[in-house]
Amino acid sequence: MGLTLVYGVLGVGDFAHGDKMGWGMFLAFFVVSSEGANLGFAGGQFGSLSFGWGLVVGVLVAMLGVAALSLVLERLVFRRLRDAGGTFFVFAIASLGISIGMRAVIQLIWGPSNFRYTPGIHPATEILGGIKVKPDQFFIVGITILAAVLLYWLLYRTRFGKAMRATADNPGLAEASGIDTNRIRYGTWIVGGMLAALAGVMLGLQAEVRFDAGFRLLLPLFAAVILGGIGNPWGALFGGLLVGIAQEVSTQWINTGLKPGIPFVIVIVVLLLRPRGLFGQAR
Amino acid sequence: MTNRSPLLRVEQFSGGYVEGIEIIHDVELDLFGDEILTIIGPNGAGKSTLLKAIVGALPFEHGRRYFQGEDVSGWSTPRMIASGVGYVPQVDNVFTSMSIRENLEMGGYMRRDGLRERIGEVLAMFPDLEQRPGERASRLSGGQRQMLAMARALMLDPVMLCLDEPTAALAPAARGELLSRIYQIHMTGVGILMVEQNATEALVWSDRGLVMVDGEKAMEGSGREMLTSPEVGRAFLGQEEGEGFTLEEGSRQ
Repeated sequence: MGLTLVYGVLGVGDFAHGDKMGWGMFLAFFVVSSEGANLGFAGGQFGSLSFGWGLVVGVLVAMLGVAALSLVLERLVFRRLRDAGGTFFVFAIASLGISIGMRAVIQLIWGPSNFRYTPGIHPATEILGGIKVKPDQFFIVGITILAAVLLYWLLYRTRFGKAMRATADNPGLAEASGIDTNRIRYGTWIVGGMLAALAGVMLGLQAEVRFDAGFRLLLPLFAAVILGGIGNPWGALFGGLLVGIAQEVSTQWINTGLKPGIPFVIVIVVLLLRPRGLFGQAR
Repeated sequence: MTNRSPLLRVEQFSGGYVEGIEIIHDVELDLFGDEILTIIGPNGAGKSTLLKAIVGALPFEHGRRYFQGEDVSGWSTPRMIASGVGYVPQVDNVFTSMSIRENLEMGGYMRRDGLRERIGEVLAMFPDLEQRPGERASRLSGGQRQMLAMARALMLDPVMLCLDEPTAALAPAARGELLSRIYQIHMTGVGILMVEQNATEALVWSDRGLVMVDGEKAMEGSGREMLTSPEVGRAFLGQEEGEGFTLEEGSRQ
């Protein structure tokens, strides 16, 4: 959702989004790991979930940190490129460079190993039809829904959010209406960065904390965004679900090694039938 | 003209999109608050460029412009709009993915208070829009979109409205309706400056007309003078030699 929002409002295909997830993941890891424990944030466990207050603090730190990082990048890189008349392609290549740099810094600090937020085995409970779900996964689904609802509220119910949509729709007219589009751009990077960090922590919770975990999700992420209709947050949510489920279900019939290709098969088929994505609207 | 002071005055005005390449040269123009002034002329004459320059949307300008007696040369579009100028570009003049009401909210983005009341007032001027404020702008017809674009520009209570070819993409029936709506807005005390391709129809509703050719002011006169002038008729209103324009043909209904 963060990726599609940034594209919709800013016209930037942000290849660094996956590594922003990575940074969110590791900032939270820093808080809950032994370094964080020295600061007194690590402890606690909520009911049957695998984590406690430490990770809540970690999520907040991650969201603020990645939002701040995104702001700095807008000011130092994207704003300059925009002022110099940069096109979509220029933004994409710049963000690809940023992506590589960000990933390298994570690897430099934390190395190439895998980590977990909380060690130990966290058993799954069985729900309907023999499907096993971990308590953490319920939590992740809940947080995702909450984030989607909050994003909807921001975009459709607040003055700032409506100005974001107006800027995405028609930047020239937005500016002529007195909307400070630079402020809107900063705001969009903040929201996009926070969503990336949140997604990164959830990914770390669900799988493992690894320097390239966010990056490895980048291509399926783009697939989800394109599927949903680029620039459409609800489409992205649905596209993400579709891509994820299709990948897992496909292993019933095909070799697991081919799984990463599934999203793109779906994208090709959908785009052939609906060039603007499933929920893209004609202008 | 009497000795009242103009709402807008443009003096020795030149400008263009690139420094050094002038599109309009040395234009002089006055607009009074109780007037509709229509700028006509062939394609590429610099009509729209002049309008953009007046609302501060042109990158390069030389000369002076005054609005309500104040020197506003070099002012940006948001600043002009905040000070009482409404501007409706020819294309891309509404937020297509947003509802009618949201478009008006964005038009009133700079308002400190009374947003809700003003939306009510503006909607009351456009019955077509008032019926369905939640409709997305992309679903509106060309004429309705143009109405919405004007409604959006009226959100900040402008004293002057600049319209860039408001009837350009409309069917003849919708053109007449839109022009009469512009006249109604004018009667609420808004000075109107518009650029028009459909010159005959627009001049019928105008107090004055101004002809631009090659970036310069070629002629200026009352709407009636323009409509009946054989020279203007031949060159810009598509009339044949000897074919005059009678006022009955184009009278305000």
